[in-house]
Amino acid sequence: MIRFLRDRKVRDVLWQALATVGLVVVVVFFVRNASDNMVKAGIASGFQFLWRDSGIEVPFNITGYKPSDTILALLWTGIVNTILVSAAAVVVATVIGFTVGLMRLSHNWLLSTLAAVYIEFVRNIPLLFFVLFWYFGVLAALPTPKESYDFLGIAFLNRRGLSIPLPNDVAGFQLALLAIAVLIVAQIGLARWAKARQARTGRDFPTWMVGFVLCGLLPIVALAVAGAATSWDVPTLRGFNYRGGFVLVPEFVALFMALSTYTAGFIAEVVRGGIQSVRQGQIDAARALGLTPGRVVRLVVIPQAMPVIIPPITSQYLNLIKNSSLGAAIAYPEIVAVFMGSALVATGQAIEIIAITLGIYLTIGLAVSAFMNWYNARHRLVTR
Amino acid sequence: MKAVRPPLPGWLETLRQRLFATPVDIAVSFLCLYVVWRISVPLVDWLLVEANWRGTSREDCTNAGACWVFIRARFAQFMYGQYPVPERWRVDLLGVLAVCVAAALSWRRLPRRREAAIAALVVLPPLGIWLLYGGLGLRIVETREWGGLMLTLFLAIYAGLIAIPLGILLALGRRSRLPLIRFASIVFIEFWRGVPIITVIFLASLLLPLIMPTGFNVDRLARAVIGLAFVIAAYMAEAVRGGLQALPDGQVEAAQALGLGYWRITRLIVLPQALRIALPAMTNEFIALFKNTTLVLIVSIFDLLGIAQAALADPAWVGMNMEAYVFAGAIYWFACFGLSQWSRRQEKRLSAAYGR
Amino acid sequence: MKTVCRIAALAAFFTGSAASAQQLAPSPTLDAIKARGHIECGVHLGLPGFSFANDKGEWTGLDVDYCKSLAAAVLGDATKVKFTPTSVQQRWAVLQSGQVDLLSRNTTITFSRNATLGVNFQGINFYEGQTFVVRTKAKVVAVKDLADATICVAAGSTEEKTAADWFRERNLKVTIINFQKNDDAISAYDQGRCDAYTAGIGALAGQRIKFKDPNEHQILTEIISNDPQGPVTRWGDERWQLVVRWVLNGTIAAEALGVTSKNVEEMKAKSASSEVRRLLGAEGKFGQMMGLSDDWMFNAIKQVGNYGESYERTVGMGSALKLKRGANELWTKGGLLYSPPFQ
Repeated sequence: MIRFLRDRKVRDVLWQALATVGLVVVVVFFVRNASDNMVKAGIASGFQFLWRDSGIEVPFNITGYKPSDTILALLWTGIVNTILVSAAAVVVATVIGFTVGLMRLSHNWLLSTLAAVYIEFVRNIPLLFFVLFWYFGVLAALPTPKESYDFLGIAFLNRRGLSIPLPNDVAGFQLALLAIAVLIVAQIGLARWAKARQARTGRDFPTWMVGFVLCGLLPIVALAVAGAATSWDVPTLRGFNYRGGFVLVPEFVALFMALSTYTAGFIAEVVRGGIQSVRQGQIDAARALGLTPGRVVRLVVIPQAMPVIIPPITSQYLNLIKNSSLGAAIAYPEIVAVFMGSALVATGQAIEIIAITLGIYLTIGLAVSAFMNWYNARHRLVTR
Repeated sequence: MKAVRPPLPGWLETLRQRLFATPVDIAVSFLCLYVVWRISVPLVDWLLVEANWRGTSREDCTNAGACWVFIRARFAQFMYGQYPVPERWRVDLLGVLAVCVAAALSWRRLPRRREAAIAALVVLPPLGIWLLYGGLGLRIVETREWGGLMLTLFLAIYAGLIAIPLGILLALGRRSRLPLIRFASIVFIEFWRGVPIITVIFLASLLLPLIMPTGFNVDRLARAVIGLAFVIAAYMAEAVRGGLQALPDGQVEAAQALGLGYWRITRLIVLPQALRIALPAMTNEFIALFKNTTLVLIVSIFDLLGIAQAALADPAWVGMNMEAYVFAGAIYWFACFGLSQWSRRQEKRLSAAYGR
Repeated sequence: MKTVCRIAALAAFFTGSAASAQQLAPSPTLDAIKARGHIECGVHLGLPGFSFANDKGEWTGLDVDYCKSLAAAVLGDATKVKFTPTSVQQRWAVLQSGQVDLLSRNTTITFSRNATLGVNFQGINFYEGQTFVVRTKAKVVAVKDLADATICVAAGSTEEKTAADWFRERNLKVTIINFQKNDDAISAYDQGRCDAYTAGIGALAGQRIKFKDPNEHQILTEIISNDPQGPVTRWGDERWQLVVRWVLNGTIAAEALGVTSKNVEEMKAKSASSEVRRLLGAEGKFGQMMGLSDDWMFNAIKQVGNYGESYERTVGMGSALKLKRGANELWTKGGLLYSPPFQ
């Protein structure tokens, strides 16, 4: 018997069996308690509630949701709002983070100290403070609707948000978008051709200049033409507020600002670490070849720093998405606020709603990790 | 041909090199100075110069700056919440005790330091609960009366005490050669890392009572501690895993060659080294935990920020938002900054010791 | 002789216990309350006049008073009650999961809550009506003037739905911003995020003092809904529900019968009215029928007072809120309050 137990394989199987049984017992215990308690308390269960009318107002949505829609539609609106604010904040946090990270490495003492102060300030205070600060700070700084900042009579900024015009008809814009898509494809083709030619003949082609015209100027022209050809729903002051058009609510702005400035502090540290991991010899060699400082950074430093930067920056992006749930504290209608908040109160079905919410965050997280892994694999340096 | 400038004397030369080396540098430096000027002057004005320090009520705040009278009047609440006044000595005693023990343990030449640390870890946490909660001769102070900074510290420290061992076990589990245990650890870690803490706190406060047998009530605060501990354990596990991975394989192989079993290798060879390497990363996770304790106010537990908000709802002190948030924020900042500096020092010592 | 006495005593004991076993349904909630020695009462996070804790943690208010009466009736001591502040969202989960024995927190009785949440409403201790608070300089007189306005409200409250429905039915457009907590909604309104904040007229009277300058704001007199509010219990445990319901009735009946905290002893000893005597336990053994002591309402009235006394002290003329009785007056005086007879 003892010999039998000394066999490593047997022991392995036994350990695992033990762990499995323990786990199953615990899970069964909890599930049985839950179902007992729910029956006793008379709480409804199941997922039918998703198709009930929600009756909950969501002042900020781009899904066209109305209170007469189902709770499922409400959930979808919450998801879209979460993604919207996260996507916007990820972009801006990356830009600020890279800037501050590079500033931190500047040989100018004042500049690097300023960056260090920013980083240390942001990283050591709970995010909730920033969310509340931006929200009430933004509200206090903006004028009342009657005294709005007026931008050419078509856009208005006040405590109720930024009102911008919306097109009544999107057909023209669809054409314009199609044209832009064609331009981008053309630009990619051109860039490939230019690169191939440079590799073949060594002749440089002003890809960036052409790209600027193709993807920067022409789309503006296309959009302007489309804009002129359609009628617009311009916000106008009616009674208390500006009506019509689209309103970017202060909750969005506050959450967006808080998330991007906060996460930027963490990204800056990641960027600094990544760049410092590039060996000085690489930079010296690039300089010796006569590359300009900008090109040294762009062609030598960043490509080598990226593999070091991308994994930690991915977890910062994931943190940002998860942190967007703090929008619930300032009435930004994201998943936690509309679903775990309003819908949970309306239906009382805690278990189902929490399970769905967690599932959504896990799915979003997996999708982002998968994308970043793919990106990292594609851009990994080929070491020779 | 560039004109070679003769070096300026002493610190002026340093200044020139670090701030005014090129025309671009000069412009950048002046821009920075301008930014600093624009931010710091009104800030200092509000915080110190124009601030109100004396008095007892809102009416005493006549200057344009911050009304620190509010903080003074509410200071005890910010520290203890609703903890009964005659029992507050217990909180103070525990705080003094904890600081003394920590100070003694950080003295490197303490005799039998290791044994003392283990003894402190075994004795202090239950002692702390007894002092704070009561029983056995002390008046019971229920957790609903706790609040303020003491609650924040309690949440962070006790969640950390659960999370660290759990995180170590999970990290070991994730590197186990038994597929089922590895799989279970990975699922646990990735699940808790993948969801927002706010939802976990909700989960703990709504679901824990539902999945417990009838009549078995888990304390509200305990629920928050458990929720926070699970999440942080998952993050801690990843930090420890980093330490485990940094350990050269030769260490384990040598120990195996000596005929040591798994647990003894882990206890004597792997963990002491891996934890030392992982310490800075673990400290960072603890800082994150400390900051995230603010989220418990979503389930009406009045931590430092929650108490600050509750104080704002007091009609006698309406409109003190800035003062309350700045005061509470400063406490968080000093605590987190101190911890991170400590962790950085550890990291430096470590890299010196390992020659990396 | 001794033996006979013993047998008689034993017989009496057995018949007595058998009788009470027959009458009394098991009540896990009451047993738990008696075992732990206090009632767990779920209240509002902080609503002056209804449930509000001062900086020493002492709770006062109409809803708080009700729980104190309950403690006096069940345990004989009005101080044996502990309050759990709950947010709008948390309240149902806190009640359902058994963390509190009842909710007494400005909760409106509605059909869907009763039908789907596994909760029962045990009567009405405050007839609330929803209205709005606006800035005086906005010159709003009637609710319909709020067309195109932005309105701050606590998410998951009846006010949220009522306001949305009211404006939709009249084809008026408003923007409604849902906050997770009442206080968040109030401070956002105070900061100018919204043109109006909506809540019950009684609640607003209390919350108004949370504004930076209460004089800049005005509460509209128009009421857009009826929100009867009262104590809430879980489904099941009928005997506990009985106690919750009849303590509330008892405080109202006491006012109707003229029993106050001042004269309760005299009334118990000398009152000629049978209903008073039954209420105060001088005859009828009503307390025992629910498994309480017979002086249950006597204790409640003596220690906390009848409904009218409590009202005046917490929200009425004797308080900062200065609310008139209105609908919350006895039916004999033009109000809606009414207790079924103690018979």
